[in-house]
Amino acid sequence: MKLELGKIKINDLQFADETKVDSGVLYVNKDELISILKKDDRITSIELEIVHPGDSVRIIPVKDVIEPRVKVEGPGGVFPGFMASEEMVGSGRTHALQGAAIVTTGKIVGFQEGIIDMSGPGAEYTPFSSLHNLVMTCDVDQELKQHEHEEVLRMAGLKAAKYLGEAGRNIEPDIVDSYEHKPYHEALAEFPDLPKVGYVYMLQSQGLLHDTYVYGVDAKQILPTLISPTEVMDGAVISGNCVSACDKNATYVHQNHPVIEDLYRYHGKEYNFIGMIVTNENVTLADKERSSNYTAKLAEMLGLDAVIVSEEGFGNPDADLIMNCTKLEKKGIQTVLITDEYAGRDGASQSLADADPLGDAVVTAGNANQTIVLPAMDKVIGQQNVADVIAGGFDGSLNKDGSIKVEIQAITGSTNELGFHKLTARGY
Amino acid sequence: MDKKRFKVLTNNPLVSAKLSDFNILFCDNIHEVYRFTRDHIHQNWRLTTHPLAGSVKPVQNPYRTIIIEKDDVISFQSLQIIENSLRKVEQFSVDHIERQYSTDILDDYQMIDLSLIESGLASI
Repeated sequence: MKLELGKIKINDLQFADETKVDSGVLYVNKDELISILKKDDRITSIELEIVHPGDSVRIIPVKDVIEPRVKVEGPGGVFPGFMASEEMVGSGRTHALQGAAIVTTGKIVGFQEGIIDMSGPGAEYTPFSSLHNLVMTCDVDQELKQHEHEEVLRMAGLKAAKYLGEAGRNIEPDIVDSYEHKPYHEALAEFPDLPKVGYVYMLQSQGLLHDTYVYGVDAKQILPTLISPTEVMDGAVISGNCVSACDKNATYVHQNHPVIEDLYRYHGKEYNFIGMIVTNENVTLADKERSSNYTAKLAEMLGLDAVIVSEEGFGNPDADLIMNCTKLEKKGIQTVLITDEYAGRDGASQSLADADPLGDAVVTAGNANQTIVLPAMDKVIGQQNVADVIAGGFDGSLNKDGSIKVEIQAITGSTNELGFHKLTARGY
Repeated sequence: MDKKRFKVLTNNPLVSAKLSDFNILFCDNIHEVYRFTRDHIHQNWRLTTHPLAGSVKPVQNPYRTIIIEKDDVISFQSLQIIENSLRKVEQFSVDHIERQYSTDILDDYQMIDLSLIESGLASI
């Protein structure tokens, strides 16, 4: 499978009479987009606002962030299983409006998480402050249950991203990156002197507000399976995850997967990137055992020498991470784990809820319990009063002057476990 | 599913109402849920569901439900998991200030806890 990903650089976002891309500016016909979104009669009102990097704006609570894209050649369409058919994606050509995003907000439950500050110290902790964002605030029929409310917002975000992506259909991209995933017998025969490396992609899948979808299928219902990295880059994985703002993978992150991009970057030079396994994080120990057994078996069947394993979320999924690690290691497959830490505000506590001596190569994405003061912003989109009750917030988090003292786990994407964030450690 | 094999430890009234045909041990708070679960594991019960909530942080949600099932021997895996979980609950308790949530938020927390458990029950 060969995917060409055309990146159209977007330097500005404005409302206009016609939705189009012209000279790096994405123009949006607000009324047309609202009329499309309001075809879902469960939506009672909808607001669209534009925010830019550097604006004194706080968005809270954020549900998802999505990159607008359009499929211009090859089978399938954007967001298969939801906005397009069940046709397989990951080949042909897709255009992305790079630099723009849809941000969905809306309080599905009272303690919903996620802050994006577009300027100030908080902006440094979220990768989404550097984008031109179209922020969607939806109210829905009050009779809807929480899971229906989540679905309405998820679908509205995908619809908006598809609508905006169409504007890039006939635009020549600034950059075209090409990625290829060869049939396994060919991939395995290449670079015989290099180690065969794979990637295990763990997805949250534990129930309401903890869900992720693969080709429209709730990931809790899958057995671990092989998927082409190009399929993931082409929108086969969608977030329905509303908790764990700092370390959930927004749809934007699935679309712009830094682990996959880096695996391609050094493919054929430092290792032979064979492929990836997508797996889940479920509630029962039996499901965790089955999925980790199956994941290790698939890696063994592929003849991998080493794998990278990334976690999504914290707590209960730590058990899945360690099960995956130990079972792979016991088959002689070396692992590198990517996770984040909840080591307490002083950083002195054990970082994960599970551990094993075989997990001896771990990359951390930061300590989510670290606290930060976010100064007041001139404008708040959403509901700032939830700051006191979200994860990472606490009584008194919201000060009278509009500033917020929170743990960085309240900030969307601050400790992303795919490395799609800004925290790093440097030696001097 | 042979429901008699299982025991549901919870302080969530919504779970208690919805799973009324299970053997339920209703607890006063989440700390009791965790402590009583550990005590049961020492008496040859093993964990069916993982004791930590999905990615809602320990203590943040004032409700917690754990399902266990009867075994003939002690499960050291369950014991290790519950001890690690207890340690995480204690750690998160240090920075947590007990608070009165509004009824709406309490209802949402109950629903989230129930959803996780129903997701687990669906696969038993």
